[in-house]
Amino acid sequence: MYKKTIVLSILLVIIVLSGCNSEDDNRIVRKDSDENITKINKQTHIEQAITNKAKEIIQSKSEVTGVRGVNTNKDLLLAIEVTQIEQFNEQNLEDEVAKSLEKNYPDLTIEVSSDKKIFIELNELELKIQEDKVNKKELEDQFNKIKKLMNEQA
Amino acid sequence: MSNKKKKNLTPTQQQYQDFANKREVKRPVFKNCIKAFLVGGTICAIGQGISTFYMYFFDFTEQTVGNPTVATLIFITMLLTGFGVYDRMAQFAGAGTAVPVTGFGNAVISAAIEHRTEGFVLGVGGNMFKLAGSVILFGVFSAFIIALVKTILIEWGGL
Repeated sequence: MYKKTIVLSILLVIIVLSGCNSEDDNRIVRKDSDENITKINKQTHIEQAITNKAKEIIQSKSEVTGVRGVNTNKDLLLAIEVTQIEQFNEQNLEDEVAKSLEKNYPDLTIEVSSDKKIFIELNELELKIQEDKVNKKELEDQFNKIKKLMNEQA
Repeated sequence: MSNKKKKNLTPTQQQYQDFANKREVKRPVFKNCIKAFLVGGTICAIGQGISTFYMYFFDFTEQTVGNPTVATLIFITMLLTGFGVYDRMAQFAGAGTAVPVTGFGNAVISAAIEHRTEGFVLGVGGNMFKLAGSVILFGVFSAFIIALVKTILIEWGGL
């Protein structure tokens, strides 16, 4: 009985603490069951307007449920999240998205990934850019690291 | 027993067959399936958790995260087999614990433990892959065949 109370109280504390520990997110966030999109609303070292526009274009596809992305002057990296059933077909979807964007931005190198890891990394980088915690050099480094991860073979 | 063989039985034997059939405990197939589904699913959920952990905290992508995940799962199985916990789980869940990669780990490690008394070379070394050897052989061999087919298709098939 005593033990049970202790375990329950510890659980309660963990739940309450983890529930209240939400990070500050100053990006423009739109989130629901079929939409998970963030936009950086700040002048940064590298203008992110291209990414914001591209996100809107991708989000209009019904299979895509979430987008994260960062761009430099030459490259645009995007990570997409797709619906459960489309996971079987996400490689094709990547190509499709990349092709449709290449029409809009012919002078950018566009890379699209449906990998969860890329999504996590781009999300973190977006947050950093929003909070202005990176200088241009660090941004390039992070960017190249993600690019390298994207092209990693199993 | 097949029907052909049954016809050759003497009447007494047939009588015995009927008697045995009636008393034989029915295999609870559906119940076993449910148990296997639940326990196997739990193991896979743990595996997914480990994958996600590696993706969040280390530089693994969805493509490459498989290797450390499998290694971790087999390591956990190794400990559980050594402590005798995995065997109890396997008794309850059957295929649920045998089909995921943990079942493979259990097959290797339990054989290694069993033959420890016969020495390290002839005992452990010789018998470790008694059960799992066929799995490894089959995997390597089929991978070899697939690689051959792929090479031929790419080199001469123009794919």
